Amino acid sequence: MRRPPPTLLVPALLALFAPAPPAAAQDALKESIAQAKALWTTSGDRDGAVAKFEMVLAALEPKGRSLEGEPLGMLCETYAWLAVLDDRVPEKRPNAAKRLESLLDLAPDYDIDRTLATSRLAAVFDALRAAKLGSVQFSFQPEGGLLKVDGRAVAPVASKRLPPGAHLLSYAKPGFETQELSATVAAGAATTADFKLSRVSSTLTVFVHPSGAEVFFDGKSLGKATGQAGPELSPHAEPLGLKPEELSAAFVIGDVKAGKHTLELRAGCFKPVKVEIAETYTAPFADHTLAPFKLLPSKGALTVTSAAPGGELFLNGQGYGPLPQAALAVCSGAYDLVVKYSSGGYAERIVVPEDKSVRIEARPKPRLAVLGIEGADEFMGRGALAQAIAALGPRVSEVACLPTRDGETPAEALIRLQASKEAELTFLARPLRGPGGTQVELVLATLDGEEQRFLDRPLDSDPLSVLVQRLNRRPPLWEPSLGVTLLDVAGFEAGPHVLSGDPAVMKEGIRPFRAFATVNGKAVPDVAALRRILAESVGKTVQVTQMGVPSELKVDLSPLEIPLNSAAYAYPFLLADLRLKALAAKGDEQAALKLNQAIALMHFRRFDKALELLREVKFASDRGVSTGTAQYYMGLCLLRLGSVYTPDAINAFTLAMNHPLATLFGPDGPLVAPLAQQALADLKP
Amino acid sequence: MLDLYPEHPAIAEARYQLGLAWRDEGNPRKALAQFVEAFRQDPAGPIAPKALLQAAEALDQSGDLNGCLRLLQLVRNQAPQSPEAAEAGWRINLRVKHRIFRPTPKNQGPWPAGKVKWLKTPILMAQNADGEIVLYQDDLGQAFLLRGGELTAVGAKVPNIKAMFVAPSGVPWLAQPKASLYRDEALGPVPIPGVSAPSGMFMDRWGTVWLADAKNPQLTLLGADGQARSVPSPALNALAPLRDGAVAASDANRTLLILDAAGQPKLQVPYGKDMPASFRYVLALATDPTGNIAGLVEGGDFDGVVVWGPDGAVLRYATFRALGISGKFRSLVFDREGGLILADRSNDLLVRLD
Repeated sequence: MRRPPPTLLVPALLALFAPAPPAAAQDALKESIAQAKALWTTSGDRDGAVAKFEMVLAALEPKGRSLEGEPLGMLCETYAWLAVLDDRVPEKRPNAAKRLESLLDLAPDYDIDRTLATSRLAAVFDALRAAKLGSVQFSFQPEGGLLKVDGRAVAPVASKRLPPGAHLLSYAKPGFETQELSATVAAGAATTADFKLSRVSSTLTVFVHPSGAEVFFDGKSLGKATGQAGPELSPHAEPLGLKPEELSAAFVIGDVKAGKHTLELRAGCFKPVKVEIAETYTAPFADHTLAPFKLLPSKGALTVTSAAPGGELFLNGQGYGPLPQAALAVCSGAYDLVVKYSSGGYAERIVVPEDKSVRIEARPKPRLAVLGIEGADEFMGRGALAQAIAALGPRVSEVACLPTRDGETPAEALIRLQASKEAELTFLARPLRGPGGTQVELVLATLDGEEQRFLDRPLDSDPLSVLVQRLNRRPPLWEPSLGVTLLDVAGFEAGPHVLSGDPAVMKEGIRPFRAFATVNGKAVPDVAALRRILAESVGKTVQVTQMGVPSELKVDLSPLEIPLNSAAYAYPFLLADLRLKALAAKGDEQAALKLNQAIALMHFRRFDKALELLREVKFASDRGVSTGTAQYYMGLCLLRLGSVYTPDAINAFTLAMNHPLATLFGPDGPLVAPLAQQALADLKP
Repeated sequence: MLDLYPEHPAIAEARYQLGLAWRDEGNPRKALAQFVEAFRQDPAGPIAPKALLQAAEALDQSGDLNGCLRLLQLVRNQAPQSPEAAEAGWRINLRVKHRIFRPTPKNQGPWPAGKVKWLKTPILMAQNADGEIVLYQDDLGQAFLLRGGELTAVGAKVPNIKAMFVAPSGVPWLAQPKASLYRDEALGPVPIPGVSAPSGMFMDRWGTVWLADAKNPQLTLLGADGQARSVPSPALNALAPLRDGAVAASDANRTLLILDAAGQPKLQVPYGKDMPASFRYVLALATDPTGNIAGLVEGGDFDGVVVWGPDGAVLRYATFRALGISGKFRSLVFDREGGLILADRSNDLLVRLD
């Protein structure tokens, strides 16, 4: 039966890796060794076994002295077996000696399996060892430390064979001063190395659950207590309700000087523990093993909801699935909460306290892509400006900032964003050089090109303050209303007087030019006081009395218009924000948001786009800012688009007049009808 | 500017000024459109309360009282700390009092309280820019500023004055018969050709002095440049300013004339219309900034006080008998609280009607 040729795949793979073969390759080598042994021990197939061992040798021998641990052991075993197998064939016996020499060069302390080797081979091995190596007899005081021979850690054994020559030996143990010795080893001779360490401090040995907790000693992190404790910790683990493997391996804190100390253990999702280490633990110097610590879980609950559809929750970059998420059990602590929508994003730094529930109502905020500073030219204040731009994110609460990408120019970023729609807004700083020095133009824009510019100076203490203020500011879009217009009249009845009202409200018996004497049983002196009560009662019903007669009126929200040209706002941001809000809105709320989007577009003189939006505006309510308002604005936009649209403008103004209760600005603003009438009069030749 | 620089920060101011120009042209609807646009630019800006106040007045001039009141209240809601808010509050009260509630006038007695027989034949009253009363005492031939219940002489000492108004500077201008106008003590009288019996006088917002003549059928307009022109008119027995023109009384025609900015009558209201009894003579007229008109009337079957709205509609009236007062009342003014102050030349006192 022909044997298949030995595969060269494994050596080839192993050759790619240095210094140690990866785990999968190691497993393949172990398998080869096991097969080789089986071939010899069960089949007596020496040649087959040798071929397998040669394969392992070819993979590991090139790495030779750099090997440690299991691979070193495999190489030593391979040498030993090849020596045993070569010894079986007289003409191969010289090879056996060479194998043994290689083995002793690699691992002076290795001993062959004398049950496998012949007595002849064993004698050759012993002779070689005696001729090649010397030995060092160790004594350790105290025991249990770490021995290093020529910088390599070895188990602290009583005796060790070493090649002839000078060797540097060191022995260390926590709490003791490390000792170094030089030993000169002669072949065939033995020398001694006696280590006697001096006590210089105490040590503390700590076991903690969970494994991986970070250890702080006197406020300084010493690393993490990893691994698993052995079964000997059972008596200590069981009272804590733990198995020993649930405790970390021993974490030794060395160099504990005399005095009081603090020990703190922290782990994510667990309550930290802080203990005072009394002086009795530190003087006189001694080794102490503390009772195991069990950290208790620290969790809270997080609920995230959103009126806008399609949000996905991320906490510290980890996805938790789509919204809503109700009572999600999370570790207590701080999180970067992000909700990603198809348009817009929501980001907030939150803290979930232990045993507490946190509720977040997310809504898509416009994403602001920070493009950085245009151009690479240096100018005074560039560094400070760049720092201010990098720190913009936490300062603006109404947008989600997307930082610059390394190596991407602003122009490249803009092209990418316009293709991917990953943001709603862009921000760019453009230096403007002039005879008086360099100023900076802060350019805020939507991806559709609605742009607003702010002039600033890079050396100002806060060069972005003008932008930050505007990005954190939005005009009110709603105000609470009872459906009546009120008036302050002095010298007659006390309280705000009713001027007029929604027909449905007036049908309740409300009379014009009579005062609301009380609201919810309390006297209200004027309109301002009533408005404050309404602000706290949105969605509720209030009881008003007029001439001693009570009536129940509902407090609803009436839409307001945004200003057309206020210097207090950043209009690209307003436009983007309104667009996102409208995605999640319905009915009159959506109509009002679209109307305000149209006004924002009118700010940018995009009358065509404003017109498109206004055509979609349909209110159910006919009072206040409503359909008639939209019709009036359509007329204004059509007038701006040129004389070819004058007939359409006339039509729009005429339709506006069909809504006698429609107003501009808010529920108490001027009626649309007279203005539409005047616009029509102006248009007549 | 609106067409060339539509995004200029001064657009709101430009719209506001355009609105004022339309207002002065007597076109309140066009003025309203401009004031609304001025407000829209920036409702929180410095122009906004002024624009809104003017828009409210434009609505009233257009005949929309409710719309006017809404916007006046909006001024108070939007800019409660502004001076316009205080002004709006006062204008709301005047309008509601005179045109909506219309309570029956009541005599509150001598004004200031307790002051009786303390004047020297008061025959004329006018108000300065702050609403304070300047009254002319015939026996002393001098005008006096009434402040805090005390009188302080102002202007030239000139006897026999028939008409008076207070210039923006605070100096009273005085008109004597036979066409002499006294402005400044240092300057001496200015002749006014064509005016022989001045019966009423005021200065409009362009600085033009309007002079009514009880004997000549003309209204004389004396420009700021000193040039005088005449507007044909019946002989007028009383004259008072309105925000966009004037109101005048013609006893000969028994007609109250509401005049436009050029002095042309735009409305004529017969004496006694919509009243239980008529009267023959109008002794004095007074107006308030909201366009209400008050008149001292006598003769016929009605001696007393009448208040008309800016559209000539009778709002309130009361006879002196019903008010429980008697005297020779020759002049009246509105005060800031919407009451009327009457000057009684025979009893040498002032009386307040609420």
